[in-house]
Amino acid sequence: MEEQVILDVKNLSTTFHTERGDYQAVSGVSFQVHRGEILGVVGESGCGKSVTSQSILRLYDERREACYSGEVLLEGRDLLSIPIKEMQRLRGSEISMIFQDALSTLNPVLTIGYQLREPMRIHEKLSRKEADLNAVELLRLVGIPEPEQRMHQYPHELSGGMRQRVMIAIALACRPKLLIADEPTTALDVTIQAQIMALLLSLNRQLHMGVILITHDLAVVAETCSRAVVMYLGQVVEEAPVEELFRHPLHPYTQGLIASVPHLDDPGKEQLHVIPGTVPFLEDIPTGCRFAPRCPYATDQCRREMPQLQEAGSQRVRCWHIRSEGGV
Amino acid sequence: MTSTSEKDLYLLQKQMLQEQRRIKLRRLGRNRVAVIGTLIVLVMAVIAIAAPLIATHDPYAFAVADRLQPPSAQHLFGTDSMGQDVFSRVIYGTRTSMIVGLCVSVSAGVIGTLLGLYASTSKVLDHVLMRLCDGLKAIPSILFAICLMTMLGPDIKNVILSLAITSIPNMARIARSEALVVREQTYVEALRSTGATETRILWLHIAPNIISSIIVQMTFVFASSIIQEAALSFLGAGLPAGAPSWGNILSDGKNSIYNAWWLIVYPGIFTMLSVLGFNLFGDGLRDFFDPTKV
Repeated sequence: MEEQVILDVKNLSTTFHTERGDYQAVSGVSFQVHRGEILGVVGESGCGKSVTSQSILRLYDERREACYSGEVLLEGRDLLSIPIKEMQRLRGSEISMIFQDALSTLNPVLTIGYQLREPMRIHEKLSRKEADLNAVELLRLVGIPEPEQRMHQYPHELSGGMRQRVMIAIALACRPKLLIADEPTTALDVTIQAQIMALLLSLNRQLHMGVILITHDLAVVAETCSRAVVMYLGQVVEEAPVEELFRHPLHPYTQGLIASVPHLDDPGKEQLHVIPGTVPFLEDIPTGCRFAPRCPYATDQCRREMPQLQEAGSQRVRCWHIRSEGGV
Repeated sequence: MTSTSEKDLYLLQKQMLQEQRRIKLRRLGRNRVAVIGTLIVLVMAVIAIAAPLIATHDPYAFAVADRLQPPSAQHLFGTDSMGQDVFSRVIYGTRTSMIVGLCVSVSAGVIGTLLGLYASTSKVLDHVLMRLCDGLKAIPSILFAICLMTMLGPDIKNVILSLAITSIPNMARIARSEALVVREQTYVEALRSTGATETRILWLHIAPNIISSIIVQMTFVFASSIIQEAALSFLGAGLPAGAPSWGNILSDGKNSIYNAWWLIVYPGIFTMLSVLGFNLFGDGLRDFFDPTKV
């Protein structure tokens, strides 16, 4: 793997302005994405995965909805401080995104071809004909049979898996350096999920771009990613190469997540592990370690003070117990 | 891996478009009500365009000797109190109604869509435009039209203008509400993530989504402006007295309603049929435009 960093997120925070006050949905997230690698971002619902990804593209309206802080460096350039016009130019050409809901991310009244041409028309100023030919090649690249016909069909004429493939084709239209896939398979059934993940993996190798794969499915992470970031309540709690993460997870939350995945080869009919409690609302974030209320190892120190991310071998963990015992 | 040649791609596109059109037309053909509506609309359009060829007499020519003749071979729909041929006047009246309907629906449609689309873009603009529309809607539209007509004077241009003004608020509201719904869809967000500007999203992605509702609404505006023009003329606030218009003929006929039924019945039937026709046509169009129903 080349060690060239494409995206460097430093201390990113996103605060939403709401009627009931400001809530920080993402606080101080840092990670790096290298060229040609797939970085997994894992966590429960509501832990800030999607907000992080949309913040990287600055998709929230800064005048009304949200405010960002920190730095998001795309090849050294800070995306959070460039003018919005410049950001629009980068979206879709340098960074693009695949959304969770494959069924509603295509405009129902326009043909597949029209929507595939769109990014090329915006960014590369191609003529309609050139864009059309490129679009057919893209459809072929993402494994859609009879691409010439699909070009003239409407989204409702395609199945869910096909639509997600089309979305991937649109995202790849301008050969971005970074692809953010926000739970690309949640709306699809299992066999199609596997196909889409295999497609992403092969495209990642073929086109050599960085991919951020956001998911709550640890199996997907184990299969596709080289490194993973575990998020809890808007913070990174652990970051590690995937093998390390599964072999010795250091953070109690990661341990809980891994323990709650069912195993087919488990001999006993034991109950699945459950992490007690739920993700708290943003209104009552604990003062100390954010995971402390649900953590089986929590001490007074955990409840009082927020631990920092610390290096532990090739891993980085946000937990007080690391220094004392080298893992819990 | 075969590569596609340009020619193949566009040939295929032509074939598929033809096929889609065929399927849609067949579907429209199965919808009886829509076919009836379309036929009525077509007949009305032909009458309006070919009025000079169809009319048997000059609609303005007086023949005092032939006053209040019942329908006969010479005067198909009889004559009115000044001996004018009712058939020819009804035919020319069709032309008036179609011109009024077309101009009002097109101008209200275009202006309403513009206002609605832009109202959906910003909260401030939304409030300003929609409160203006509320203000216009607060006055009953026919009263408002009468007011405008008395200020502007009887003329077909003024009828079109005042009816358009009263139809714009409804149009703008429909365009706005549809645009607001579309704006919240995931695909708009996905578009933003591909770097599309707001203007591009508004015109190339939101507008095509709302255009079918607008066209359907335009046919209803067409129908209602036919009625309103007839009503204004009937009340003497529409076209100048003597001009051939269904409302004017009805208005003339009300004095002799007990001894000359033909003065009321024929323009009445034409008004009714055309309004019915345009409404059915609009319903048919609604089904036709829905791309998710094939």
